[in-house]
Amino acid sequence: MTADSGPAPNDDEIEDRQLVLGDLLNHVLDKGVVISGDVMISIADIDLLSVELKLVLSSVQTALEHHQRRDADVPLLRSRSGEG
Amino acid sequence: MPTYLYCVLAPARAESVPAGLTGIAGAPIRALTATGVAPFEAWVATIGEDALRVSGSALATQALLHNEVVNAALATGRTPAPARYGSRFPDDAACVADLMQRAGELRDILDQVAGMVEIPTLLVPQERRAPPIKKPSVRDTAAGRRYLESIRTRVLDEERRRSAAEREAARIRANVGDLVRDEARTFNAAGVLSIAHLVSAGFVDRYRQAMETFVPEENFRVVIGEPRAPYSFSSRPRSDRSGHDSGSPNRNV
Repeated sequence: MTADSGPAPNDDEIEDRQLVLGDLLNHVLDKGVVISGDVMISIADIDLLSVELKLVLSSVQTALEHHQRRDADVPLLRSRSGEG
Repeated sequence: MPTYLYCVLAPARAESVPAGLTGIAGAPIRALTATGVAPFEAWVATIGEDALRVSGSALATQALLHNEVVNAALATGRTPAPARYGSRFPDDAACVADLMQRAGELRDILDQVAGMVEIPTLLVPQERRAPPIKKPSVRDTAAGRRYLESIRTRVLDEERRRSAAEREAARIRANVGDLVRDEARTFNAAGVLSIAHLVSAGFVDRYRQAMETFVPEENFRVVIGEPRAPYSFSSRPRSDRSGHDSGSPNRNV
């Protein structure tokens, strides 16, 4: 528990303050009412919204590639099954 | 210029924004009001997009400024529903229109948190160093197995720590149960369990007194933060949750 002790805070007290501050930041950034307006958070000059979009595009690209590979494999499988 | 939303409150009878109150980028705070079946007041500011393109410590500073404005709203005696940091709209009209669309839901949230504050209580494990994961060596023929075993050890250790924290959280809840309207729990990356208790603003001292006598059974330290606006209880109305005075402590875990 946070104690009101002497003028020089000990390591635990310093860490406690950091933890409380970190917890507050986590809540401000991650909780609260989300209205349908844009929520924009940038980290290292990259908009997270854009990052999310890129992830979606990446996922679509991966899915397309997977689909293309699968399509390419199908004739091969048919051919093999035809041979067998 | 975009309209940045800080929080939503039940409407006031008179001007409620403290004179001279500013927030992110020093922009003055003003109130938008919407009337109708479910009237509300929104605290907003006009902030350029570039002002929100920040990262690192500047992002943390802005998040704290956001919280200061929300705290100013809380100080008016009406509990606000804080908006998530970064909520912005093309202009005031778009902001009000979006809020009006969710007026009923916002009303439910405001009713639920009226007269309440959120008290953060952190359960900090005394030992936070996780077992090391062994890096595989090319020369070790059983490196793969040892690597997987070390991962398994770490996972089991994390499960054990979480279970211990949950047991401790249940003891805390039992200790302050009659003062707590609702509860949300979240583990952070450092293994600290963050417990948010929704408590009547008039019961804050009683809550602190009750926690003064609480002694953790397991190897934890308990840290109690300052009361704040109900961030953890503004995401969705009570009707979406399980029960009043919930015995549903794992809601956000």
